[in-house]
Amino acid sequence: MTVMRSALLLARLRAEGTLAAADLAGIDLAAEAGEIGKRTVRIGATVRLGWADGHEPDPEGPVTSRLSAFPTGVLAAALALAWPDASTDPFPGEPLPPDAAEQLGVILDRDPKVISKYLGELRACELLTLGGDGRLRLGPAVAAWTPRTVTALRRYHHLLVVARGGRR
Amino acid sequence: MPRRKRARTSAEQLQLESPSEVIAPFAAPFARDARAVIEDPTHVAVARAVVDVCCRPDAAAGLSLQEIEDRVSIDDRDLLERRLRVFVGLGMLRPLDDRKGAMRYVLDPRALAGVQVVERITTQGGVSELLLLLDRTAAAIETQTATAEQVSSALEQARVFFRLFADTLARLARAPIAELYAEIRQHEQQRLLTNLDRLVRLVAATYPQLEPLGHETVTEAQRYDRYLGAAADRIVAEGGAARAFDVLTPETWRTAAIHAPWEELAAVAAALVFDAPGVVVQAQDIVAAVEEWRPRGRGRELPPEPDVPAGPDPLEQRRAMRSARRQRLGRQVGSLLQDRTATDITGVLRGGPWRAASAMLANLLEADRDPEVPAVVEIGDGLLADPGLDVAWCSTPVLLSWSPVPAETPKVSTAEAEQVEP
Repeated sequence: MTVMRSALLLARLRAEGTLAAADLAGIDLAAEAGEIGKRTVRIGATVRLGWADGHEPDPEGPVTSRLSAFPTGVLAAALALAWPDASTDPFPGEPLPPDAAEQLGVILDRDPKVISKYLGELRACELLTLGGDGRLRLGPAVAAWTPRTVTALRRYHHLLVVARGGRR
Repeated sequence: MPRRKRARTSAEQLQLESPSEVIAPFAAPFARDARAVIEDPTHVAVARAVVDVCCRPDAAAGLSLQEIEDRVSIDDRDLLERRLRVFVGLGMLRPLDDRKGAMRYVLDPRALAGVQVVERITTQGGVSELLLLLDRTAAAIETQTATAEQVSSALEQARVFFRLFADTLARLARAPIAELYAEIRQHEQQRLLTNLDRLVRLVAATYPQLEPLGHETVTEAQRYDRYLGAAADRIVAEGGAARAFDVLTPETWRTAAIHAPWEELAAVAAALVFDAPGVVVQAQDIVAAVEEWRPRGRGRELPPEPDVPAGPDPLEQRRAMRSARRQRLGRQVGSLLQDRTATDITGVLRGGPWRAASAMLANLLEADRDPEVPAVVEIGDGLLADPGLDVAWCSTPVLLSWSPVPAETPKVSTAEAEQVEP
C-alpha cells in the first residue's frame, strides 16, 4: 500500500507541480523521484520536484520550454540584484528593490515598461514571485535548480556582480 | 470450413486500397477472368504516365512505341514494355490510321476517361458515381430532356446505390475501426442527401407517379445515413479511447491541428496526466545572457585615427621651415640695423634694383607681422620720386627698428604700435 501511495503522490506531484509537505508526512519520495531523474525540493510548507544532477534536459536533445534571450537577460540581472553573496544559495536570496523595473532597465538599457512585461513572464514561470511586502523575489523554480547549475552560476558570480554595475 | 485470416493491425488495415481490392470489384463486370485485373499499384502509375505523354501537344501526330518509352520516366523498362503491349492490344494506344504496318500510335480518348475513372474509384469508391447520377438526372428533369422511364431508372439505381452502401456499413459494424474508417471517409453524405432531396422534389413536381419510388430511395438513403452516423460515432468513441492515432490519415490530423477550435484540441488531453510544465534554465544560458547584456561604458569614444602616410611628420616639417624662415628674417633685420636700434632704410631700398627692393620690403613687413621676430617697420607718408632710378618712387621714411616689446607679446600692427608708444 505504501508503494502504491508513494507512486500516487509522485504522480500528483508531477502533475500538480507542488504538494503540501503535510501530504507527504512519513513518505520518502526520494527513491521514486530519483528513478525518473528528479529530486524533491522542500520550499517552506510545500514540496516540488526539480531535476536531479545529470538528468537535466539536454540543450541539444528534444525541444523543451526555454526562456528566449532577453527574458534570460532579465532573469540574470534580477539574479544579480537578489543574490549578492555567492557563498549562499541563490534561493531565497534578497528581495529585489521596490524600483526593480527601473534598476533592471538601467542595467539592461531598456525601458522599465519593457522590463515589467518580462518580469511578468518570469513570474508566470515561477522564476520570480511577489512577496507579501509587494517586492519581487526569486521564485520556487530557482529553488529547484540542480546543484550543478548553482555551482556553475557560483563560478560566474563575478559576472553577475559586473552586470549589477558593481566592481569589475 | 475455411481458415480465418489473421486479424490485421491498424496499419495493415489502412492498406486496404490496393488495386486488386478497390479496382477489381469495379472491373469485374468486364474482366475475362479473376486474374485479369492488375495487382501492382505501379501499373496504374504506368498507365497515367503513358496517358500524360500521349496527351502532350507534340504527340498530336502520333508517337512510336520507342518514343513513348523514351518519354516515360519509369525505371522498370521491362514493365513499361509489357504494359505498352497490353495498351496496344486493348486499343488504348491506336495506330495513327488503320493501314497495316503503321508504327505511330495515338491515345484513344476513352483511355483518358478510363484512367480518371480508376483514380476516382480508388479514392472515392462509388460515391462520386452516385453524385453524378443524381446531378445528371436533376439536370435532365430541369431541362425537360428526361423521360419518366429514364428518371425511374435513375431513381432505382440511386436506391440500389444507397442500399449497397448501407448494407456495406451494416456489415462493417463490428469490423476494426481502421477498416470502418477506410470505408466511410469516402462518403460525402451531406452532399448526397442534399442532392437526393433536390432530385426527389423535382421528381414529385414533374412526375407525380414516381413519387413512391422517390420515397423508397429516400428511405434507403436515411438508412445509409444512420449507419454512417453510427460508424462515425464508433470511430470517434473507440479510436479516441484507445488513442488510436493511426486510424485517421496524417493529412486529417494536420487539418485538425490547423483548423479545429483550440478548445476541442485541448479537450483531447483533458484526461491525460503529464508533468507540470516548467521552464528549463541552465547556467550557460544565464552566463551567455550576462555576457550579452553586460553594461557598457558610457564615455565618449575618440574619433578614429586618421590614416597618416609613412615618412616625416608634415607638421614638424612645417614648423622647422617656419623657424628657419624666422631666423633668416632676423638675420636680415640684424644686417640692416647693424648695432643700431633703429634706422631709415629708404636709401637702401632706393639704391638697389626694383625687384630686390620689393623683395626686401616684403621680407621686412613679414618680420614686422611675425610675433616671433622682434622687428618693427614704420612707413612714413612722404614720397620720393626719381625717374632715373630703378625704384622710381618710394615712401619715406621707411624706419626699421628692433621691437620695444617682448617677443612673446603678439603685435597687432605697426599703426597700433605707434598709438601705444609715447
